[in-house]
Amino acid sequence: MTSTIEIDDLKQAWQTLSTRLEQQSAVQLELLQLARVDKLKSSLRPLFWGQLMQLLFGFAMILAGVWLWTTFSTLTPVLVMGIIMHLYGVATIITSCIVMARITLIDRSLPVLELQQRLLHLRKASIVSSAVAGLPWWLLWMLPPAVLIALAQNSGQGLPLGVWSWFAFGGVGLLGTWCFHRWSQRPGREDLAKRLHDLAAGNSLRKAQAELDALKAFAQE
Amino acid sequence: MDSQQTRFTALLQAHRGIVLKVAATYARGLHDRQDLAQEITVQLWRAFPRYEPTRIFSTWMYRIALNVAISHLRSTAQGERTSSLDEHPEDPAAMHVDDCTAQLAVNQRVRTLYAVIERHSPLDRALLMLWLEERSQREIAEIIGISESNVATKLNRLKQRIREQLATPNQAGQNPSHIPHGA
Repeated sequence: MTSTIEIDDLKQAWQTLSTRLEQQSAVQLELLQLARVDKLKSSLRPLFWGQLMQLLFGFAMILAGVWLWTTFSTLTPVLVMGIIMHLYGVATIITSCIVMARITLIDRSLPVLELQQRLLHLRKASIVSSAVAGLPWWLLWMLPPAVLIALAQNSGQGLPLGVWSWFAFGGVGLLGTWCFHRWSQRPGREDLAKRLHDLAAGNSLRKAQAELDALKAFAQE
Repeated sequence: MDSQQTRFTALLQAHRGIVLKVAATYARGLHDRQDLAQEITVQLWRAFPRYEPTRIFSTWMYRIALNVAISHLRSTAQGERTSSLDEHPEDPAAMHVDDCTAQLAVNQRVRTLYAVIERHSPLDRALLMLWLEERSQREIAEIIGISESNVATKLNRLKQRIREQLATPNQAGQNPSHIPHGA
């Protein structure tokens, strides 16, 4: 005799499966496993430490910037560069603090959708933090030599034309990066855009994005 | 062993079925299931100091287990379709196979169940599993984090999709439409 499986039969199958899982005892939930807990790393821990390093780096930039604009306040180029470093340091600290605060909000015991939303916010914060810390270096890497040149000149006059050409090159690079980002966002380049986002967000958050894609679909049903 | 550990162990043993079933829903193959079950156990233990005894333990446990399982599914090759049951002789769906027709029918039902589960997204799997567990809509809403009415709507849609899958040959497993009945 044959028949069609009905949806309620699945519950019967589920009971069978449950019984078999218990019988199989394939999974040992013994206490000895708990001893290994401390050795296991949280997937978000590398991100947290990375942000902590970024925060310390931001402090160092602030100290350097403050030293420059207080010590050489009469040298306009150095004063401006000191302020730029100061602002950069503040920005990196703020974004790092936001990411670290969001990491502390990740609690596995939250309702499933709420946790997924928090992961989304964390991912966004991490991407912004990466951009804030990284992109300005198109220009910032030229600050040390520019400061040295300005100090060597020891006058309030502007920087040599050659130094400005470095900054112009950095500006073009920054603009090019922005244009490339905009270009990658266009329809048909979703894979490239996703890879760029993954790269910016770091390994720790790749999993989170995949989960959140499913969340969006689920919430919109 | 301190008192917290003792309490946790007792609760874990009492509700170990949740860990086993969530692991079986989101991972296939003995080793993958073991890894997931262990990861769930680890996360439960880590979260246990923040567990409030006034809350229902099973609800708290389901939340953590499902959150860990969804992450696990995504991390293992983006939740790629797992290999067929034939490649996993240790799979519960393939247990106790003998010449008994009734036993074969039971195995086929479990295979069909697995096939149905695997066709759904991680979040839908959570819904499906909780429905199979006969959890109340209120508890499902609390675990997933959506309203009770939303749970009812989603469950209706989910069941409708499953009915369609079951009615369509090769959509819900290996020829599920005709299996020996009477298991």
